[in-house]
Amino acid sequence: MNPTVLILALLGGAGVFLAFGGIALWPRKPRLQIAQRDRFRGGGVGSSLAYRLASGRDTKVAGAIERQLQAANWYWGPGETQAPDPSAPYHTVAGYQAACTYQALTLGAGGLVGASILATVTGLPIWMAPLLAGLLAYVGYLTPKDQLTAAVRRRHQRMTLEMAFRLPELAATVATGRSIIQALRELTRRPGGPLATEMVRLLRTYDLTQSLEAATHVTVQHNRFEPLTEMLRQILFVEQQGGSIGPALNVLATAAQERLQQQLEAQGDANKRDMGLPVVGASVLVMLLLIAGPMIWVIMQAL
Amino acid sequence: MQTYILGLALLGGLGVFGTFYGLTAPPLRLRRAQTDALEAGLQVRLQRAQLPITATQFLLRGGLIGAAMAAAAYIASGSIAAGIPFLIGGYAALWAHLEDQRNRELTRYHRNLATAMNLIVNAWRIIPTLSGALEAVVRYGPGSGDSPDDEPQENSVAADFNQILRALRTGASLRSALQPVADRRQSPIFDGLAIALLTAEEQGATAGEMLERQAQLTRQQVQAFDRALNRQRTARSEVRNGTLGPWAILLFVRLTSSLTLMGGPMPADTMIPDSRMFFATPVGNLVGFVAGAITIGMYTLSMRIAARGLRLERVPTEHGREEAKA
Repeated sequence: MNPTVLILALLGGAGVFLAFGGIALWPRKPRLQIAQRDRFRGGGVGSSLAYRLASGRDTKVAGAIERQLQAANWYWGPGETQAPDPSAPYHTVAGYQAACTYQALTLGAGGLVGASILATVTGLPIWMAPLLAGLLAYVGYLTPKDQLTAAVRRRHQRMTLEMAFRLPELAATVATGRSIIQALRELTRRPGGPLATEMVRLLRTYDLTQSLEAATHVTVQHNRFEPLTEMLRQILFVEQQGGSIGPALNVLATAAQERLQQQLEAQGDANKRDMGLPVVGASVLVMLLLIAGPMIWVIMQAL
Repeated sequence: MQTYILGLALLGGLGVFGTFYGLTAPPLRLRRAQTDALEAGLQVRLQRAQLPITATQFLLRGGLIGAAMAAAAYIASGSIAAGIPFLIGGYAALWAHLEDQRNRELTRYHRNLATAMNLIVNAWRIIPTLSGALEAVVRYGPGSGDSPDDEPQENSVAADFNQILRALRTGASLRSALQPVADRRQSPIFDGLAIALLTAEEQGATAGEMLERQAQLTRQQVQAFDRALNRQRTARSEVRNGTLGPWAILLFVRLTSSLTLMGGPMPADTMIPDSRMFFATPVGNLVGFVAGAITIGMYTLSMRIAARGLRLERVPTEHGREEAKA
C-alpha cells in the first residue's frame, strides 16, 4: 500500500472531522429540543441526527403505531406526568420513528465499515459492502417494530392469563351484593397485571364522567384486545338493560378459562415448532462436524 | 483502490467525530434508577425461578455434571476442546432438571389445591362455616397425616391450611391469615381460592354455589396447566435426545469398539477411521469445540423455547408496582 495515499487518507479523515466539528459544534447551534416522552432508550451518538431525519417522515401509519404503543402500555400521553412503563424503549410515535432511523443508521454505517474492511482484507468484490450495509440498515429499521409487536403479544397473553383468574374473582365479589363498579374497585385495590391497569383506566374515566358507556369506550379505544372488548361490552349491555351482572360474569369467566386453555395449547405448539428447526439443524451440523470432519481431513492429507 | 482507501478514511474521520461528539454532547438517554442492580447474582436468580437449591450447591452440582459431560465428550470425540462447552452445559442441564422438578412439585400442589377446594365445598354443604371448611382440609385434605388428628406433612396443602387456621384462632382476620401463605406460594390458583374464601366469609351460608363454581374453575385451571407442563416435558425430552443424541451415538460407537479391541495394539477407531488423530490436531480441537458449543448453545436455547409461556405463575405486576414491592 502506498504510504502517500495513507497519509492523504488520514489528512482527509482529519479534514472531515474538522469540517463536521465546525458545522455541528462551533458556532453552537440551538440544540434540538426533544420532549422527555419523545425520547428513546439506547440512543447514543447520532440520536440528534435520527430525530432530525425522522421528524419530516410521512406519518400515514402513525395512528396504527400509537394504538400499538397503547396496547403494549408503552404510550406516554401528553400531559401525563410519568411513563406508564418506564422500562419501555420508547413511548411515542416520534420516539419510535427516531429509534427506527437510529437503528438503521448505526447498523447500516457499522455494516458498511465492517464489510468494506472485510472486502479489502479478503479481496471480495467491493459492491458487497453497500449491499450488506443496506440489508443491515433494513433489519435495523424493522427491529423497533418487531420489539413493539412482541410487547403487544406478550401483554395480551398476560391479560388472557389474568382474565382467567380475575373474572371468577369479579363474579364472586358481585355475588356478595356489590355493584360491578364496586367489584372493579375491589379488584384494582390490589397490585395487578394488564387487566388491572385497564380497569384502573376505566374507573378513572368513570369517576370523571359518571358514565360506564364513556369509560368502556375510552378503555376499548386504548386497548383493542378482543377478549377485553367483549368483556366490557357485555358488562355494559347487562348494565344498560338492567339485567343481573352475576350470571354474565360467570359466562365470561368460563370463556376466559377456555381462552387460556387455547392459549396454552397454541403456545405449546408454537414452542415445538420454533425449536424444531434449531434442534434438527444443530444435530445435523454436529454429526457432520464429528463424522465428516475427520474424513475430509483424511482426504486433504492424502492430496 | 486509492479512492476506496480515501473513502474508508472519510468514514474513519466521521467515526472520530462521532466519538468526540458523543463524549462532549449532553446525553439524550433517559435516566432512571437501576433498581434491579442490587438483585443481581445467582442466588437471586435461583430464588426468582423458585428453584430449590442454594447457589453453592448449584455451582458444585452443575460443575460435577459438567465435568462428567466434558469427560464423555472427550471420550466420544477424542478432542479435549470439545469438552469445554460441556463444562458450561452442566449448569444448563442442572437448571433444566431443577425447573422440571419445580414444575412437578407445583403441579402436585395445584392438584392438591383442587382437592382441597372440593373438600371445602363438601364441608360447606354440611356446616357452612369457614373454620369448619378449613378444618376439613387440615384433617382430611392432601398431606394431612395418617389419621385426622396427626400433624399435617410439611409443605403440604394441609399444612398451609393449618397455618391459616392457627392464625385465625389467635384472632387474626382471614385476609391477614391468608396473606403469608399467598406470599410464600406465589400461586394464582391459591390467590383465587383465597378470594373465594374471603367472599364466602362475607357472603355467609349462601356462598355454597360460588364455592362450587370456584372448585370447578380450579379443576379446569389445574388441568390446563397440567397439560401444558406435560407438553413441555415431552418437548424438553425431544430437545435432549436431539441435541445430545449425536454425542451419545458417538460415545456408544467409541465404547463398543474399545471393548471389542480391548488389549489390542490398534486405537479404537475402526468405525470412524483416523477421527482420534484428527481431533488431536489444533484444527480437530477447533472443530470439536465448535461442535460442542453448537450442541450446548442449541440445547440451552431450545430448553428455554420449550418452557416459554407454559409456566403457571402470577402475572407480572403492572398496576401498583410500588405497593407490590413494599
